Amino acid sequence: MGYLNLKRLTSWGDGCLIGLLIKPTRFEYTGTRDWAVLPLKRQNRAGFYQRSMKSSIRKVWLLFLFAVGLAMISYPSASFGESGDPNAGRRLWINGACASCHGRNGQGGAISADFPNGPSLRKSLLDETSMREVIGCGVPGTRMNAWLRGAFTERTCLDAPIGVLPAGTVVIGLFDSKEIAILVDFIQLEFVQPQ
Amino acid sequence: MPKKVKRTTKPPLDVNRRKVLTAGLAAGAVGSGGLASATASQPNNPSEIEWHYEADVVVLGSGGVGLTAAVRAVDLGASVLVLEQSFDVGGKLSQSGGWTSLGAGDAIQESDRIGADPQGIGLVAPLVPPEDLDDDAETLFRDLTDWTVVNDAAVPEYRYNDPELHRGLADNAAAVRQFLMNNHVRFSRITGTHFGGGMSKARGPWAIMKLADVTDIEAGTVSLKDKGDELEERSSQFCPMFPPGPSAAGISAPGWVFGGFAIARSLEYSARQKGVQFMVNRHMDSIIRENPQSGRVLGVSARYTPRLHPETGGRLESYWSNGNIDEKADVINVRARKAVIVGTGGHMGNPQFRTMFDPRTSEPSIQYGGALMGEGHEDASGIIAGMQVGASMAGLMQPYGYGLATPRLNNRIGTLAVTDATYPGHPAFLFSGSIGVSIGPSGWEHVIAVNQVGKRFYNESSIDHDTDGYAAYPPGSAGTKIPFSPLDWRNCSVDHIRSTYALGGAHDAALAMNEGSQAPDYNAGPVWAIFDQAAADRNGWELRFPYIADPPNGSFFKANSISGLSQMVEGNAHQNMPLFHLEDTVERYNAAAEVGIDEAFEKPVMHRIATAPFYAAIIPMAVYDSYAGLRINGRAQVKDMMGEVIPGLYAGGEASGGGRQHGIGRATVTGYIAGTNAAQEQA
Repeated sequence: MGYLNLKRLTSWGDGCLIGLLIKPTRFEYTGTRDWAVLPLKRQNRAGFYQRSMKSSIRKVWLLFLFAVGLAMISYPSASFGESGDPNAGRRLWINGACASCHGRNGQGGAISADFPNGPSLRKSLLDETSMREVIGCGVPGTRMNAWLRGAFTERTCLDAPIGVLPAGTVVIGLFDSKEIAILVDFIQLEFVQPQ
Repeated sequence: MPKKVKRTTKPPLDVNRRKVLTAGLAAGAVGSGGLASATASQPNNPSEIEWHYEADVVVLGSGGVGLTAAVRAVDLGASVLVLEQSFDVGGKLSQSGGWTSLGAGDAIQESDRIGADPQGIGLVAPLVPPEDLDDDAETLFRDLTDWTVVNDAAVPEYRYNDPELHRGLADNAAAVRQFLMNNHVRFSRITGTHFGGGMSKARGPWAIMKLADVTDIEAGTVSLKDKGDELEERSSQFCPMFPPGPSAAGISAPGWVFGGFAIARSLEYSARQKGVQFMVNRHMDSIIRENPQSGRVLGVSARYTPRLHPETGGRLESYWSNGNIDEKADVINVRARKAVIVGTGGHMGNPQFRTMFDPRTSEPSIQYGGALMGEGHEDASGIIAGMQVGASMAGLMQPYGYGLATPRLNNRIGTLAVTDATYPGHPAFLFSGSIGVSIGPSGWEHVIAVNQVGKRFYNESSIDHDTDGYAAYPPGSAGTKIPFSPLDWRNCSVDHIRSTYALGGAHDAALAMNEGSQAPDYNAGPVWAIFDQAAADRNGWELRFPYIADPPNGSFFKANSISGLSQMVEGNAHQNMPLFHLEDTVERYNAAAEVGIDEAFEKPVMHRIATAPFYAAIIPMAVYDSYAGLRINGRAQVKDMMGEVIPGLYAGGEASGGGRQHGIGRATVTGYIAGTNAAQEQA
């Protein structure tokens, strides 16, 4: 696979005026999988895992999920994730500035010309688990950053060995895994439409 | 201790035009519209003019140019008076995104290049490779004048940039970054380069403030109360940005928020601390020169233009008032002992003027941002006043084919002020009435767009492809595709242009003549998004206050039938007829949707418009920037028709011409250069 086709990936060719974080020429994606386009190509979920993950990787991935589950139980609740706050999910949505690229109602498209037109979340086919992964680990080669604290450096993300940051990945690390879970619940409840 | 603005004589509160003229203001004729021409030919003797105030440097406008110039000039020891036609300080800068491309090896490029965080912000790792931050003035100048760069509308981006002016910009860019940081502005990591800032290097971080309990400009913090709260759908006068101060987490600074207000308020705070004085609610009408077309610029004449609360009638006040001179006299004369700096912005608020450069802008319903800054905003007054004392213009070709200078259909619909939206809580909301409903690029699938007679005019799903891609770093993002190398002719070769070309025509179709107007008053009229309840439900559109106006203000209508809707839209000030053909249009569209083939416009996916109630939301036709203005040299001095400098007159930003650089970089650097040189003029 050559350089990632950013224009197609993010459909921001018409409106992407912000500087991208990567240069397609420079950050060649060297893997063989096509997972990077997953959130945008609307592949079905089963197909995603069958096509995109070898069994050994899947084990790592399951381990990761287990770790996420553990983290959800054991991590102290952060400032935004207080249980009982009906606005916790929306606060996280705002604090992550998700609407900058995905639209105020998750309909996709940027809030201004300065941001890339992100994909519609209303039409997302990702289930909760996949969406947590995309948010936590990002989509290398696009403006979708990794939002999980310690992603890649302290926690296994995708199939990368710890400490190895895939090309074109930016780790923001704003949220812990519990917060990401709350955010995903919010997105699923508020935005994602039955397909 | 900086020198103070001096009040010379007390201006009478009932000064009218006659009295001003007889007071000796021959070349500074004042008209209520501010556009009266200079008629007298006898010279002005400064000692004979009745000056009401005087300062070393008089700055016109308080946006990116004015604030920078004012702080710079006061730093160099000048007394400075800023005249601002609106009620608060900040201009267009205060509602911008705050993305600030400078470069030439500026301080943020350097700290990003080595992965440092000298301001202690808590930034994530740098976002661009270090080699793309290795910049200098020579590289920036080369980039700003690289003739080979074309955007995806096949328009050259930099070919006509004035070399002397851009040499000045390149030579001062790094100093301006340091200047901004010295005046309390904090920046994120560099995320790329803003439009017009060059192709080969990354030059643009975002202005940010840290969310904290209290607002403290020197500490770089802002409170949620001052920033505004999206969750509570509330703005504050401190931050006229929408949404108010978004999180900067995604652009490298978790816990911080970004926006142009971070620069505007920081510079304003610094200016007031350093002794700059402000006269808000005061519109400059004319520049006074020794002779109508020769001699020094002596000062300006300015008119009291209070903005009143539309309900209470009370005067709107600036957020901060220390350093304000509250002068209520109708017209006053302000002497500039050293220089006048024009930072009045562009000309998109003046249809007569703007149509000189783009005939499409004759359409009166075009939005340009009047809610925040009022009717006197960007009315070309600085440019016209300069021309009246002999200035020439530059950059008349720069708007051509450039998206930011072209009227475009916006995908936030149902608002009269799409470019300056705020939540309730900021006074601008009193004038905009609603924020609008963001339907995003995908929303066009669910609406039809009709003109003032109710006919469709374009494939709605292509409307969002209507903006051309600006040629910007990094190559490949938009406007120019890989491979790119500076000054390489292949950047603009036929193959390149073919592979990049992506211009849409929706705005041209929307602005085309139709049967709704006739000579001599041809205009296309407003355009409307028509949709039904099912579309709103499918997309989660929030059809409620403050996204739509309550009480209604002519930007959004709801009816139980299409025919009822077509009558109601006459409630819009620019809509002079019902949407005559709307029923027929919807009927045809629904039939096309049934079979899935749109023979008229080839829209790929359609949804029937059949579930009452039905809605009509105005599709804002908005324009952002002006790219023609006073001709300035590399020292920001205004030049006359003979190419000679007009002594004592400086300009910058959108009031000046000669380049196609957008935004804060252009404004602050020209303002900085003007402030530097103006302060060093002989009094």
